Amino acid sequence: MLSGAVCVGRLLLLLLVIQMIDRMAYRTRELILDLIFESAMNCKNEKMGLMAKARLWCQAIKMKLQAMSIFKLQSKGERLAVTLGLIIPRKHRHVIGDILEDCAAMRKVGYAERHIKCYVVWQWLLIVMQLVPSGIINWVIQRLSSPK
Amino acid sequence: MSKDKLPTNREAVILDILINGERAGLEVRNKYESRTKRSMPLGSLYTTLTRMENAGFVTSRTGDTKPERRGYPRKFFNITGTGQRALSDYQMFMMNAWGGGVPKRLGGNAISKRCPGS
Repeated sequence: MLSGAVCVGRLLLLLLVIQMIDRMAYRTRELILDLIFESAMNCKNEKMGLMAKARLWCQAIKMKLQAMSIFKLQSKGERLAVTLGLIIPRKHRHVIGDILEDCAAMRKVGYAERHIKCYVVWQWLLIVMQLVPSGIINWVIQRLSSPK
Repeated sequence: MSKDKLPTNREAVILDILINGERAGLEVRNKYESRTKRSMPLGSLYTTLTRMENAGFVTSRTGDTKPERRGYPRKFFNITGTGQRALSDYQMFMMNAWGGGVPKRLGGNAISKRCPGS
């Protein structure tokens, strides 16, 4: 019963995440540009310390570089990996690098682009399933199992 | 043999891979797959490595990157003294469990304690 509830909880969470990706794929660039603009406006309007301003600008530049790297990627599989990587917690981002390295190796061997894309999505789904915080899963289970 | 917690089979293989020095996560995965002839998704690998890190068997550090990684850093793992002891404990445990070596049916020459005549 519990494992069933865990599966349903994970499935619901995955559906939620897939919906988020769907939106992100179309709006990534706008989102990042908005964030840069917001950071810049914060620097301009608020009375902040020099270090705080510098930190905000560094963040903005980093985001801009990240956005550029997404749109310079030629391969759809790699672009997908980077886009999916944006909604993974920062401490797990190195896994996206591993996926990209795998993509490069697969391309050298001669895999078709659709295989690479499938591989990216599959690995990413497993990462979300396995690295997702257990607290969220417990919350979903509680919600599902609470008496009406 | 100490009474510390023994590593699982998968953890023991990873510890044995790390015994020769520091390795990146992807290298560990590739070595694991070539040794065991079983696939290991990256999610499972990092879950296992995080668990091992919490148990004190390995340490990790974020390292350099490569052009094909598009700026994402690599994560390197290294075995600790606790990890080395756990690995030797595991090997000792397995030797004792199999009666002093690899069982006969797997090509070894272990003598089963349950069947002294064999």
